Amino acid sequence: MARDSHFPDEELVRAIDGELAEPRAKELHRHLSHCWRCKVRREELESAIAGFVQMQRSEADHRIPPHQGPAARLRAQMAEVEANSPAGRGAPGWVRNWNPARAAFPALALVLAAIGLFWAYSRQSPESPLPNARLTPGAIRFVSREQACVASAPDAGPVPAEMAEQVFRRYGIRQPRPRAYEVDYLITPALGGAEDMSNLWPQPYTEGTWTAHVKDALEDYMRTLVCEGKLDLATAQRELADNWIAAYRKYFHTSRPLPAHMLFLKDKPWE
Amino acid sequence: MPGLTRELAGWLLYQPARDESGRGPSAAAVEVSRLFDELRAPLLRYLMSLGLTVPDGEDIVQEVFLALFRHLRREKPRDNLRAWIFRVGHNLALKRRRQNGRSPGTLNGVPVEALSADLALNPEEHAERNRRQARLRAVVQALPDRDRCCLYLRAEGLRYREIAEALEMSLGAVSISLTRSLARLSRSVGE
Repeated sequence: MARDSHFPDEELVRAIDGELAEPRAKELHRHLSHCWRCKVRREELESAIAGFVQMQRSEADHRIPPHQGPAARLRAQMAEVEANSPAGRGAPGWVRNWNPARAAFPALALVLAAIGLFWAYSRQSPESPLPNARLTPGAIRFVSREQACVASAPDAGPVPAEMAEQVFRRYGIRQPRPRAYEVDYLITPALGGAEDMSNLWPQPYTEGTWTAHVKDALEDYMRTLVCEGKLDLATAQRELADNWIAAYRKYFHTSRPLPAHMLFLKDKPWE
Repeated sequence: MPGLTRELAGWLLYQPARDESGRGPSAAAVEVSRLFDELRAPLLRYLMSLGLTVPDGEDIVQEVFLALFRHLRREKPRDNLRAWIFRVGHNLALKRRRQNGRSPGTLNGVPVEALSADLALNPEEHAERNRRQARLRAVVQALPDRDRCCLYLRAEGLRYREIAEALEMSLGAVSISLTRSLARLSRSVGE
């Protein structure tokens, strides 16, 4: 039975790295107490790690120049940026820090996004950065602020594939393109949102202005406010469910997403 | 609230690089300095593992942290900054490597230099250690690029989730990649 079957390398490696989920990690612990073969294998993998780390340190460590010079250089550069463009004044950051080389990528990304958007509109039902209120009114679990704030960064994990498919079906999207959407909780589970159909919708991941990146940035910020006691949990939930774009505008005092929020990385797209 | 943090940080910092307005360094500058102290060496080692020279690596480290500073100044969320730093560093390194017309040797091109002498070892032990490391290095250099990147990032302390974000791959792929590399390395260690 399972008790006697050996653990594959991958699980042993994940256990060594503290990345094996709890029930399985416990099983492994029990298994190792009586299985010499797995015990030895784990040691072999550990010595591979030790050998690699020693090799890497002996090759690289003595080549790292002292820290002070580069640290001072960075401080000076930051002071210069600050002196030339005090935050919150004048043109927006992306204009102040305009650099053709660095701007090439966002420009390209914009062009691609525009092409992608045109393509999406021409072949699929219109996508909106806001969910259909009838299909996705939002749903919550009954949690207190304390419960919502216990973990430093709660992670609901990806939406199960079956659920995601059902969401696409409800929205009439027949063949969703990989990475085009995040099947997203309207009210984030980090703020007590329920893992329920009525709280899920296919959100454009990169296309358009109000993307999943922007919403993730907002959720992150709202959670900080809630956990610091500056925003009521119920209000946060209601604002996310009513119109998250309006909430974004309210909290970030801007009519459009801040450029870096468009690149904010948190949840993965549906693939 | 960010204004207050900034004021507070200005008060607390002992060597303020004051800006025009006479406030201290912003909260962003304080945070970037802290991250720089913590992650400069790990990032630089990682960039060297990608085949960059030390000066090129240092340049890119500066570029990464300056970009981070601009990112944070726009009051961006502070989630996943470690993964962010390595992802930007990784991408800049690949770009630099292309500009340099690819470093000599392999893609990875860990320069083979005289190993640092360890005075605690006698000559025989020393020779044995060098042989062992040369074997390991050969195995590492023969790994596919992506596997090698995962391995070096893990060695710098990144969690699987951070590696996945830095290299834009899935969590499962990270775990498989590390297992594959370690299995190969363990064969070489066991020889």
